[in-house]
Amino acid sequence: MESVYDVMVRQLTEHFGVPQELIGPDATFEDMEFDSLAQVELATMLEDTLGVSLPEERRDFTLGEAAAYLERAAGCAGARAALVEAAL
Amino acid sequence: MRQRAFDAAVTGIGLVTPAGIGLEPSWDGLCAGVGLAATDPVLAGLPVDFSCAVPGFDGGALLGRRLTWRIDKFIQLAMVAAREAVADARLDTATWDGPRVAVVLGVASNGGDRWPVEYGNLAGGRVESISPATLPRSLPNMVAGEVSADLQAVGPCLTTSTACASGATAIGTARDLLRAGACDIAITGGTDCARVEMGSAAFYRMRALSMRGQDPAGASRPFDADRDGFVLSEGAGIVVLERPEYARARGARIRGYLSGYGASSDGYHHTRPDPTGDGARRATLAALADAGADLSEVDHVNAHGTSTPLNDRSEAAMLSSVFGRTPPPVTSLKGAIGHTLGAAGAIDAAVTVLSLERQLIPPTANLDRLDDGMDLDVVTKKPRAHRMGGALTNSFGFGGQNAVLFFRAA
Repeated sequence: MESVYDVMVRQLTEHFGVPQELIGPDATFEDMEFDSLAQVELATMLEDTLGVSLPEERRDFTLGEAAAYLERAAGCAGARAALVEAAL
Repeated sequence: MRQRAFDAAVTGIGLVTPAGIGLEPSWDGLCAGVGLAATDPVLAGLPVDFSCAVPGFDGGALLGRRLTWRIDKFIQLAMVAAREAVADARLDTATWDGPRVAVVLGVASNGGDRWPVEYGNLAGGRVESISPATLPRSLPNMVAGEVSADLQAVGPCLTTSTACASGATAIGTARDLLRAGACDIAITGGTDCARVEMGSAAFYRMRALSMRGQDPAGASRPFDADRDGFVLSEGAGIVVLERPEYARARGARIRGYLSGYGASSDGYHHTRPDPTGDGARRATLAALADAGADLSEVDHVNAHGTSTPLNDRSEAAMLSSVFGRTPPPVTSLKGAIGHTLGAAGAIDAAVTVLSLERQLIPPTANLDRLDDGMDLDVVTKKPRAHRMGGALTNSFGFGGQNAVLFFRAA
């Protein structure tokens, strides 16, 4: 099963064309050269696929922190699994 | 007061057309003289389900997804063509004087790639799902803005919109900016991608499109007696224009000169051309006057030639009346590549410069029988070698907006 982190990595590479070498658990959105338009687009996609999104004020998250936040926000592990399943 | 004569040097060309990606593939495809329309999966299920598409165009591969996720295809087409044109002019964007480089691009349509999805979100109450890139990816001005940023061409930057004359209007306007001294170089032309479901459906409802679905390759047939409408297409044509002394000082290879630009309005009807051709005639004469040229210097006309019953009839009548004899050899590229709308005038301009340079006129595809009453010498079937010193391109948009350009051989 694809983790939330993997869902994000897939969106970053496939939709936004972020080079693999810029992506990692410790990378911030700034590191990935994500402007505000791209951040809102990503938040929209996460909302649509996971049912949860990143809060506007926490765009300084690293990718790993963002994934952990989204997992928590998505609720218990079972709910998360169902949501990720739905996203795939 | 008439401006002084001014020959803008054409030093670079970029083409992305249904005949191919790049100047030489496009030229070769146009010279083959065959219709390139085919059944289009994008238009499946619609009354008109065929079009001319740029073969194998993958914007993500050519430009990078980093960029293309947020720009519609009409911008992608222009960007690929603009990069080719600048490379063809052997200009280096890293070292050029960016504030002295203008970008003037014509586009007839709004980018339509994502609107159906976003209207679906809106209708479904999903406002939060609407992409933040909806406007910047699709607004007509953004093509000039994006090309400007991509090339760091940061002088005057604008989009012209005169429907199917947009590309020619852009090139004429860029020439005026050069003549006024507002820039030394202009990246100019047109782009469009109305090859989307609503593009086909809406033009179909206007009765503007060919209905020859059983024979798409033969559907676009300018000046032919059996023509029944235009074929939806997509593409971009970009030229690099320079102040002539600037081009000579840097030792640029000059492919030709843009010497005259004439613009006019029919003031007649919202979509139909004036059957007397008065507006088109005035644009033609204005372009020649602007160049200080007379009719004897026109050795070729690259016609608007859309393959609609009304345009081709009135354009043929206008040409005969202006020249007062059989006009010099005429061609319409739309037989091969369909109607690229906002790009058409720019693709015509670029190809006309190549025709002058190569002394060769690409044929009009699908012209089997010239319509009755047309006194035209249309190049058909195969390219024609022809001695040419000057040539006109005609572009007529609905709204009655006309743009005519006059080019001289280098």
